[in-house]
Amino acid sequence: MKLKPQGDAAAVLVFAVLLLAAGVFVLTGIAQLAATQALIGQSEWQALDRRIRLENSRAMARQFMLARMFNGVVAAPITFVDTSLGGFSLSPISSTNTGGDYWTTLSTTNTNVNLKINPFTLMERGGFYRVVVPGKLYSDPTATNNGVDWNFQVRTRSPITAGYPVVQQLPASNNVALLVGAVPHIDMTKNEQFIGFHDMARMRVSSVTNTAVDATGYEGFLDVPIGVAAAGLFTNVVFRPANAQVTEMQAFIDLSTSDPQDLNQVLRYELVADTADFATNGTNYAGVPVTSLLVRGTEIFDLKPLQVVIPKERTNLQTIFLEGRNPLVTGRPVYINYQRSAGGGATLSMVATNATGRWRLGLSASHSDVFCATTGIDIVGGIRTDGTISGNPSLEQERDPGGLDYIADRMMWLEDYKTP
Amino acid sequence: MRARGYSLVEVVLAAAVVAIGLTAAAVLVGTLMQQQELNAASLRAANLQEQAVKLYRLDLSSSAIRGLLPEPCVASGAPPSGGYTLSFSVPSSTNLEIDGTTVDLDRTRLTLVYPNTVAAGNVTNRVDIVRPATRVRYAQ
Repeated sequence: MKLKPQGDAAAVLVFAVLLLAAGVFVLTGIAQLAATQALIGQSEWQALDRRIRLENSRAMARQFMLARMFNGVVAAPITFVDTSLGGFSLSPISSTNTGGDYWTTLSTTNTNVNLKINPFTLMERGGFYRVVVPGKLYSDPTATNNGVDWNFQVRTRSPITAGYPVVQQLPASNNVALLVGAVPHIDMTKNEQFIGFHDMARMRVSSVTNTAVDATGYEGFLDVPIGVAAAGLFTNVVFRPANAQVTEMQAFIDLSTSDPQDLNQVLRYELVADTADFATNGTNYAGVPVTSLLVRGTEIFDLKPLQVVIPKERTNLQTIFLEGRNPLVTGRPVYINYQRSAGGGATLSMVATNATGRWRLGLSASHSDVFCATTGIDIVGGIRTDGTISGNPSLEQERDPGGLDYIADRMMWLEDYKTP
Repeated sequence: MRARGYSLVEVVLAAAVVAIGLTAAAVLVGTLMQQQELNAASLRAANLQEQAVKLYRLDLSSSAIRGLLPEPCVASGAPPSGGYTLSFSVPSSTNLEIDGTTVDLDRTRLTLVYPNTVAAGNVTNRVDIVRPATRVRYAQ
């Protein structure tokens, strides 16, 4: 057979070229992998930078809310630019407040308003919300959309409104008075930090009287002499507006001497003097005399819920009487905050006398056990204590949205979310 | 007819081409490995720094943060072997003001230093972070 060296050489040459092409192809792929790898490393730092700036924005907005949302002052637009935060800028934060009624009650019809997700179940719809900061908070020059809009909300709700008739919680710690984004928590030893109480109560006022007692002109919900419909029944019992502890307004009213006044504007009492009994009469009829301390709801269809705060100095209080009926959501649900000094170990008795039917009531008892002698009535609402609960209470969940927002906790939590 | 072989020149040239290719491939692989090592260190550092930022926002102290991170961290000086230098400082800042009132806002500059795996010296990355002054306080 005759060899064809020229043909062999050509074949070898073609093979070498193919081998070279394959090598170049493989090396190109490897080089691309290396370039992609380098890009990933760089992108990770960019992503980290943007996440940090975004969280900076969120932190500033939350602080803004915490600083401004509970003093009753409409937040003014602000502009904040700080290049040292990596180009982070906070363009005007604005408030959607258009009137004095800052807070909107959550209801079954507006829960989803301004929310892309609905974190509430049906039973959790009681509470308040406010769209706080709808402005553009975070401007990212490297982002394709050049800026992300964030909205923030302040909400409040209670475990009771979440559907728990009985809530037993751990005793309050000394250094946590405000929980954000956590289970609502009442620390009765920290009244001065118990923010949101009077601010939120104020919005429930249907009108404000012109008879001002406080010369400072405090714009709170209660600046008139208060009394009860039957003055003289009580001795050594003084009510004062509960917001006095916040405003230092010393408007003490001695019920034994004050003239009877309309209670319609009274939303919250603080029990000042020691007394053994406290009775709240939920009847819809006025003029029913009682022999114990009475807070009477008279013709209460247009009244707002009554809050009674009993601080730890009132150690003599041992019994709360529930009298009459308090069945209506449109009536006057009573929300009682009661506390003893830490380690007191005493028992607060809740006694139903001449009471029948349903009673709308929320009781938070701190540093105290609760004994219920409430046979014959159904408590609609709940009992919340860091002690024990005994007796035979008949407890019923509050199911009416209107009733839920009446007993909504005044502790707040924050929620933020991003608009698309 | 006797079969014709390759000349010495041809063989040398072919060997040179193959050597060049192999050398390029070796260099590329070496660079790739270095790049991979650099990226791995960089990603670990980025991850560590982000975790430090999150822990700072949880109100933890700088020493607690360093103790919680999975890699050894020191507060100052050169990073230890296989570890990082993680320091916190308060930058000169522009405060957030609302109606002329300064809003209390905690602010810090977090500096992370880690060894450069492909060259002499260290790599430094700084971020400025803020957290609300009103927050849940944890006992430490």
